[in-house]
Amino acid sequence: MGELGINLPGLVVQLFNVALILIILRLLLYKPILGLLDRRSIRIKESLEAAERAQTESARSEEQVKKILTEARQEGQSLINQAAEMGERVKDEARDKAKEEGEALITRARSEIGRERDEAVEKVRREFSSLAILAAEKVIDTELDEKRHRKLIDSVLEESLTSTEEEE
Amino acid sequence: MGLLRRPKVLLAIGLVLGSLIISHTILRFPFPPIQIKPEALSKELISFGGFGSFNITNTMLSSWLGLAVIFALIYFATRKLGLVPRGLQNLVEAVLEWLYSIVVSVAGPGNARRFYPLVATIFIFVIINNWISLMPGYGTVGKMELADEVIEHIIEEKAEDIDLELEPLETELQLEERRVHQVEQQFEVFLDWSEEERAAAPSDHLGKQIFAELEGTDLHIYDKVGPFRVMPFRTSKQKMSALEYSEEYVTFDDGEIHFEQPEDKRIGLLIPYFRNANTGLNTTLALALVAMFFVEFWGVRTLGIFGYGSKFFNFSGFRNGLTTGFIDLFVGMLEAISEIARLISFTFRLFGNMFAGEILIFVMMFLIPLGLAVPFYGLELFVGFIQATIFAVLALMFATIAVTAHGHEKHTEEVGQPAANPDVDQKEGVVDTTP
Repeated sequence: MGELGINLPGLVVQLFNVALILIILRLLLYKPILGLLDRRSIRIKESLEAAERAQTESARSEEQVKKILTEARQEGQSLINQAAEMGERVKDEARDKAKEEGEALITRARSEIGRERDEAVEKVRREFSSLAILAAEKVIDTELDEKRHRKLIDSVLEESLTSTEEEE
Repeated sequence: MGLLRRPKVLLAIGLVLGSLIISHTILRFPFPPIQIKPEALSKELISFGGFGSFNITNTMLSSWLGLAVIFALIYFATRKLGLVPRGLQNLVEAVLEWLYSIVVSVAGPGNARRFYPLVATIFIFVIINNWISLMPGYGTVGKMELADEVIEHIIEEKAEDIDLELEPLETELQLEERRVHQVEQQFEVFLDWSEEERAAAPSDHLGKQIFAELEGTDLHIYDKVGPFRVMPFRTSKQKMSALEYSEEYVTFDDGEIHFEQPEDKRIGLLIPYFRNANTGLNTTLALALVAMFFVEFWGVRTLGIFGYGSKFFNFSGFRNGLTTGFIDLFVGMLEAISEIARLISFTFRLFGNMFAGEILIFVMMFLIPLGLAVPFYGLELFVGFIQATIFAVLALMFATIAVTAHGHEKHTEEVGQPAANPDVDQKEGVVDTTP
């Protein structure tokens, strides 16, 4: 053993060296570095999970946005349709009303005209009858019994009027 | 022939030839004496309490340097530890993570944290020592051991083999001197003989043995003397054997050996300050002991002292008859032997590989010092890494086997990883065959 260089003191020195390096490396290198590696792997795992979560979240929210958009579009479309319908209705109503009013106006005007014509005819007849009486008085020069004759005149006039109306 | 006309090929051939020519004329690298035993650096033995005395050797000094390098590395790597790694931290983390993945894959996540410090420490210690030994100065810068010291060492070593009785009133030291004196006398006698007488002398003649040893010891000649010596590039005259030296400078006066000191030069050997710590058996044995200690410790800790001990002393087979019982006992004995074999193979595998690598580098530096030795440094880098990995992974596997319940089929299901057993055995076989 001595020839090979193995001796107890030298061996003890080297045992001491190895033990020393084992303890020191364990305290100063493995503990902090392995701890660091652990922390890092935990962190990476966490951030990967967070990324995944965020991805699913964003996918979900995208879907939601899409849904909202579709709904809004539909709503808008229906609003437009409603508005168009309402506009149509308003237009129709306005047209009907205008038509009615025009017709009412025309009717009123016509009845007014009829009344005025009647009044004028009445007035003319009355004047004509009094004029006729006056003329007859002048002709016969007697006073006619106005009450008795007026009846007669009226019936004549009536007859003439109807005949003229018929002629028309 | 077309290949020879290409300029790149011509340049390469020219470089190789030039390197060879310069290597063998101007820049000859001496071939240093190679010994297994680490060279002692301290002149005096240092007493080590009751354990005896020891020298500070160059492998010991190198292992301290290795520790210093490792400490510096940890300091700079962990100085600014951040969750986002930067600089040296990257490298250290990558290495440690790689090791951790190996430990987890072999031992499983349950045991990984327990085994990891030992495995990683073995790897780091071995690889750092192997790699710094490739730095310039290892094996080439050192202190000088003068020729007279070299010759005296040879004589003293020889003197230890002589059987002499301790005489009354004589101290150990005096006995030592008497032995040395006897060897010197024999050497003197042998030197005075003629060629025929020398040849006729029996091979156990002390003088003849010394003569042969001195003949085989090359000494280097240095022109200047200072505290630091670098291995000299030599021409053929800058070397002489210890025998030539003793014929020229050694005289005997009344049986006492005397050395003359040449005036203008120093003749002697270079004792390098640094030599790969793993080329000293003390280091590799210490590593192996620590590794096996932890392996056995974990085995006992996990399986209990009886559970683990039954691997070596297995009496349960006697229930199935006498023959089975004896076979089981024998198998247990084999287990115990294999445990010791592991320790020895741990020690000598690392030592042998690194020692061979050192010699390989010396040989290449001796043959072609200029340039062409460089690939072998690359090879040694690789070998240094491989040996560190093998040592660490083997320790890991032994530990994994030790904490796995052994025994027969009925036991295997009770423990967590029964499947690991054949798997690991196979792997061990594969790794073991690699040098």
